[in-house]
Amino acid sequence: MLRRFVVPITVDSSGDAEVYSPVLSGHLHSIHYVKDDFANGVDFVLTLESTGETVWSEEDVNSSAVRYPRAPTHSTTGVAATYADGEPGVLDRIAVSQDRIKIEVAGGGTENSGTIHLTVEG
Amino acid sequence: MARIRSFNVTIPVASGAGTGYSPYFSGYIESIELLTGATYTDDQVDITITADVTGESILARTNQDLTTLPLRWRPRAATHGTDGVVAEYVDATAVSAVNDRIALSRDRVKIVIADGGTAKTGTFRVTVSED
Repeated sequence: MLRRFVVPITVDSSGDAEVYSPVLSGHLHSIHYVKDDFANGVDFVLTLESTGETVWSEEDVNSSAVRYPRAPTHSTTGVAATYADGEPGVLDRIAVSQDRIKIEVAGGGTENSGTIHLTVEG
Repeated sequence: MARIRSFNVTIPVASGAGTGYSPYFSGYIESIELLTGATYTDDQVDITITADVTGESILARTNQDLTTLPLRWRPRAATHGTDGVVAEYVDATAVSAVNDRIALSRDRVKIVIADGGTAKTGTFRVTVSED
């Protein structure tokens, strides 16, 4: 089952905000930042509240953006999996269990707004 | 087991332009087809398909060749690392993006036709899986 969580964000007079999704469980499939009037160059850091795992971290975002964030996978020896030696890693969706997604925004302007849509399977 | 559903969306155009919507659903886009019988102007019609609520781009085709119908697409979106950089199967010497199905939740597919001709029509079939 696919669910979409909508997190509206308004930054303070310094351009910063810290907001949270509801507590959720599932595979994070996609993130959609919908710009309202955030300043160009806004920075996003999304992490899992309980574990601190990074979900999405990107600076200098100028316009609405869609991201399908995937995390590295590993062999049973803990070595990062790759498609071939020296080539990019094999990634997979990030699992969230009874956790919230913490959304930190910087450089968003003065009391400006934007919205994050989180699509989660499960 | 995934539940697969299809929605037919017919979009007539009086003077070139028209818009149609699927019903609201929550699931993954498996495929989109323009079915046999479409009468839009060949090599001129533009098709723009997005998620209505979020505005996410699903498919954009311009001056579409309609010689051979049906047309079938399986649009997939680029995936990213947690740094927002597009994921690839190989290095920059032979870029091949790692794509995944596009997810819609409590949303619907919006299909916009431009330059479709005068008094023309076409039907799109949107197939989705609800895992």
